Amino acid sequence: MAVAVANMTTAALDWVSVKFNAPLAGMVVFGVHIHGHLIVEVLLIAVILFQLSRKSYKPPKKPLTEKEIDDLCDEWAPEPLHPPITEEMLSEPPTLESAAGPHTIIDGKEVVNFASANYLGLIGNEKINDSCIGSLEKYGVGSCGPRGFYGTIDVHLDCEARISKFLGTPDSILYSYGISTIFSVIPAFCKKGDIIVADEGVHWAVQNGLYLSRSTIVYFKHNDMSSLKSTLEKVTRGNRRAEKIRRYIVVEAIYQNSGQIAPLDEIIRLKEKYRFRVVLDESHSFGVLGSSGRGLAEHYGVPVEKIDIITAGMGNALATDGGFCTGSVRVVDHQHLCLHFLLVLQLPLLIIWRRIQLFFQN
Amino acid sequence: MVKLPYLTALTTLISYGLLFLFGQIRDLFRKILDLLKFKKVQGKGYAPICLGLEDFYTRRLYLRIQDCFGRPIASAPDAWFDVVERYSNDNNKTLQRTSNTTKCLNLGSYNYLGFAAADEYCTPRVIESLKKYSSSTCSVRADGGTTKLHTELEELVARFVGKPAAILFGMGYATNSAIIPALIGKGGLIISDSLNHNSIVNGSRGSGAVVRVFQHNTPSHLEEVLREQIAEGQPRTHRPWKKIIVIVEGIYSMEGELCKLPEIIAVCKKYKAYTYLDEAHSIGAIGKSGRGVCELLGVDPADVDIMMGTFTKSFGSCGGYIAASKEIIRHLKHTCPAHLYATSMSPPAVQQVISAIKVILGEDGSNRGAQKLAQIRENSNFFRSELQKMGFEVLGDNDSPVMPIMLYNPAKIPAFSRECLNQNVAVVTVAFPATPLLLARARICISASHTREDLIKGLEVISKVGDLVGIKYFPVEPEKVAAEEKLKKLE
Repeated sequence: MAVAVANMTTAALDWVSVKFNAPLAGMVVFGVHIHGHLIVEVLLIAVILFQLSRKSYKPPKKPLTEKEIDDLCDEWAPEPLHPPITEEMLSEPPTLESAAGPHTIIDGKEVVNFASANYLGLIGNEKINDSCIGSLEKYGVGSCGPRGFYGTIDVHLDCEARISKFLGTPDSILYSYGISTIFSVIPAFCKKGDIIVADEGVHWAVQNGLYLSRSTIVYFKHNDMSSLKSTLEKVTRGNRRAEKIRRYIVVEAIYQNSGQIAPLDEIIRLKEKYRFRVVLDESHSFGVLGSSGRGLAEHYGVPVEKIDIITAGMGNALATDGGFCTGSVRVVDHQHLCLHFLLVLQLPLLIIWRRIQLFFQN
Repeated sequence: MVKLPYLTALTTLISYGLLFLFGQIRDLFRKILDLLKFKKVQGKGYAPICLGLEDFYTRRLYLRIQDCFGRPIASAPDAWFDVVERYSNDNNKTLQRTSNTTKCLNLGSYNYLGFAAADEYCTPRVIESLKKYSSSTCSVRADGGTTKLHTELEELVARFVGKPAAILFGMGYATNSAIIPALIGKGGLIISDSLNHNSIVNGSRGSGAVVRVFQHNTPSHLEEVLREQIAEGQPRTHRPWKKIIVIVEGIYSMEGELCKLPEIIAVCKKYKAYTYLDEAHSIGAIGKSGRGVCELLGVDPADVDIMMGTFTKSFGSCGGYIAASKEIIRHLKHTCPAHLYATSMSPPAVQQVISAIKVILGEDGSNRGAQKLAQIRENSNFFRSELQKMGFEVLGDNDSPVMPIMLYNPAKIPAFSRECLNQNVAVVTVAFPATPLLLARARICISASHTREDLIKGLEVISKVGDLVGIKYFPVEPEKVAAEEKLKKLE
């Protein structure tokens, strides 16, 4: 029975092959023997090519007509530029009628001033005022140009040299606006792909700099060294690529928001263990901490070369406008072509120069 | 916009290519030498501060002509000033100062009305305020840094510009970077001119809004962009935009052109977008009474929503301001971080601006202000027309005190700068990245304190140097004009 079925199938297949092969048996095209299966294959290829060449089905795109755009534009209503004014917004700050020294006059009354960051009491100092008047008459008030285009006055360069000498660092550079110092320095060195470990309690300017730098930012608990240690550990553990990426720790010497002092010796120890660079903002500690006012490094007895970048705004102890950044020559050179320290007012800078002289004398 | 002739473009590209090639060869040698010497990088395990190509431009191109930039001066930046000489022992890698100075004609500082040096009305008052208020307030505006001077200046600025209220900041650059994020955030759209200043670009990026650019000074393209954006809505969600701000500048500092303000305001009004006008270079320098580009082009200040300006250029001081409606200023005082966290402006600087504005308005009892304004207008127009007659390619509109002269080729930048300095004229040259790579230029800023003789001397020197360096791209005005004048004289 099975044999009979097998025989029948073989006979049928043979019949089909003969029928297929017969018309083309012995046909030779371009020296190639044509067999039946070749026809099927050619037909298949032809069908595939045909399907490929057809446009894929996409729903037709109908761009908006001019009238529709007009309607949309008419309908659109913007929000007002400012939110509704609340009671809180209407409060005015007190207006001073005299210098912002320890005693000042507001609305005709003499009051004790606990609001100004006049740490060394340099406001109203006679010697400084006299030298300022001299420089005013010589140089005018503004420098009328960015640093690159004749806005650099020899006094600026002297001031930079003085600051470096005072702090013991190789080089320094001046900025013209206190808070913009830190948020220009951070993006100049930290780019996308770098890792920054920053304290939670840093002030707005530092936060802005971190945001502008577009690096990966990891925060550690405010002034908590064990938290810093575990964060550094977490960031570097198992990260083979960590060798190539630049890594920074950003801290402030005296935190503006909480008044705490950062333990620099701990930070330097951790930095050397995990190979990070330290960016230290000394706005409130320059001229305040340390036996001769040289800042946090002197306060803790740490050699200042261990800190890679020190920035400070001069609006506090130095009672002037602007900021500076010091570090190695490479660090400072890199900033020369980065913008942000444009027009500088040299009147206050001559002040600073005198002030640092005073420090030396003290 | 500048049209670049093909031959010049080709030669400039070839020059840059050569410089790039040489830079790469030097880098290669540096790498080989470092390997050979086993130089220990500062601290093993620290990634370098700047990797390979990031500062290639600075190291290999900018440093070669470093002596043309950042020249220190030893006096006030007046019409003539003392430029400190510098020399280099290691091929311009570092520059040492000497104590010699040369007196040069100042064609580079932004001293439009001549307030940079000690002024007879301003300086005594500044000294007085220094004695009274001391050099700084050491605190932020919100806490105790506001003095009577600050409030007086805010009112004066608002009156000068023609707006209801104003707010001050200590630095012009930071004004833009800090204000734009306070006005607009995520869900908003900023449309800015393609040649806007870096501070505006930074502020826009920092705000979190979507930024679109329209072709420089082309109101029709602005209209196209506005229509398209309002119709599409926000990028992926297609929700309608919360608000749209269009940012333009009064005078573009690298082009010297005035902005087409009336047309742009008309377009913005039609599509309900807010306008922000940055008058850093134009306030105090143009317009019949110095009120800036609005006055010159006949635009009502009430039509512009926010007007920003700086005090560094025409008023010889430092800082910036924003003038807008009372509610917007109130909102800014409450939210803007530069107001809440930055030390307030130095009182003597504030007094300088107050006095300068009073001089310009004529409230000091003399007409020096009107004289200065007429002088700067006359000077700019004279200088520009003479330069164009000599065959230089000068950009910018009439009445604008900023005149860029096209140089193009990278080698001409130091050549022009150094030759001019040798002949005691100080000019400013700008190249990449402040301008597009192929369009390097020398930028002249005219001041009201330049006398006619100063300008003629400057023109002579520039003409001589221009011949030497080869930047007279246009044909010199034909001799027939001179011949006509001779005929007139004969008659």
